[in-house]
Amino acid sequence: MSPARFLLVAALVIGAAILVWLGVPSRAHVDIPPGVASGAPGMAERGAYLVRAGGCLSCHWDKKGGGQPFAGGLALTTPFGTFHSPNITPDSETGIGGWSDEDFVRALTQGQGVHGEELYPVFPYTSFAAMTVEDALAIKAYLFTLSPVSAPRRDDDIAFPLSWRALMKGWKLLFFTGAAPLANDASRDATWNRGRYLVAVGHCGECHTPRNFLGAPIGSQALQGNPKGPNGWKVPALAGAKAKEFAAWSGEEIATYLKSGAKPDFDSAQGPMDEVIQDATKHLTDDDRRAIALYLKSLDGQQ
Amino acid sequence: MRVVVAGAVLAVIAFASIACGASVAQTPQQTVDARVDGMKKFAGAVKAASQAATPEEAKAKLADAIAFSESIVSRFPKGTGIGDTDVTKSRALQDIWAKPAEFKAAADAMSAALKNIDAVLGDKAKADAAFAEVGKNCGGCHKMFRGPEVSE
Repeated sequence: MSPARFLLVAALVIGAAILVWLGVPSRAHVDIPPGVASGAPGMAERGAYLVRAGGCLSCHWDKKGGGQPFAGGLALTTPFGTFHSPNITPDSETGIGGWSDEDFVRALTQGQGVHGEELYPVFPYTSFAAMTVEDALAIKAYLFTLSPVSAPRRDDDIAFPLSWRALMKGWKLLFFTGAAPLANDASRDATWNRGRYLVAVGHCGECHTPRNFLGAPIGSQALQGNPKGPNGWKVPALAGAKAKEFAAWSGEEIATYLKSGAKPDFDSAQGPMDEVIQDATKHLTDDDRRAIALYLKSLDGQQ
Repeated sequence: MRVVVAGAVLAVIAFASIACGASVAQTPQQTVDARVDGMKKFAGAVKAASQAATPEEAKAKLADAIAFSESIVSRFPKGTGIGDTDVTKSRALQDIWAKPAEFKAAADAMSAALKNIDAVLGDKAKADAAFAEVGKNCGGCHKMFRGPEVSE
């Protein structure tokens, strides 16, 4: 066999192997600790709060289009196409009514759907990967207390080749390291650790961290601002050298902003951050808002 | 006769200076820049009023803020919004000119909220609450009539 011929055959074999790998769904393993279940007492109440902390409603509710909360249908415009959020009410036909605890944890923390299909990272599973299994299942418990809403999935509008979901396997290989519940940093106090957890699962970085050309958040620039955020908004830096404006805010001012949207300069939150405040952070406890503020202040070295 | 001529000359000079004044009137971009600057000073005056050491000082700052708030509508001439030619840095949505009554109502609400503070300046608790209302009124206009902050 001539060297050129050998290379051609090798390329074909490797190409075929990649195609097979992409084509065969493989479900990520989900480890649910013994005794942890969405049906356990108190889980739904806990989940009602976590649904706020996780900011689920901002995407899973087409508020302006007259949709029902959690029934999805909101169009999310991204550089890769337009996605439509799915229905996460417990409707068995069009929602998540038929999902097991494992299915739910896998979707939330591993980015795989109920049929083992790869989810697009427009769903922030890369952030939810930091969530504990207990918290994930508490969210499921709460969602299953809602009235089922029949709301069929609206088709996404994504250009080829990204419209081929299996490619997300490759994306994950590059940018996702799997579920990794955030462990407490023993060198920090409980408030700081709580703040870090809330910032992670609240997926602040989805907007505040810049992305690379494949849409993956750049980990080394976490929370350092995104010049091209949702709907074209410039998203300010919360950490790093570019966070000059934010660094001037006191912890108390940050906590107040997350509660009411009032900025220290007397203006108020607008655009996507206004939605975050209305749907998520204003429903948190004062202690949790302070924890977020304390953690964010620690990032600019001004604690 | 001399008086008439002098009068005529003066009239010509006066007319010319008005005409010149009009010809050096602000370009749309200058209007935008002055507006942005004014808004910053406006917010600064409100903040200074809220942190003033004495009611007298607060009253003075508040007077500046009220005066500005009453000028808001006039600071948005048509042609100074997003998408207008000659304007590169504006976040004013065209809705301002599509819904002038709502825009004016939002601006008037700001003036009213500021005047409410003026009425309760001696009472710290009431004044704090009234200042918080002013903050909400910033959003009253901005949420409806201000577009996204974008990268340059």
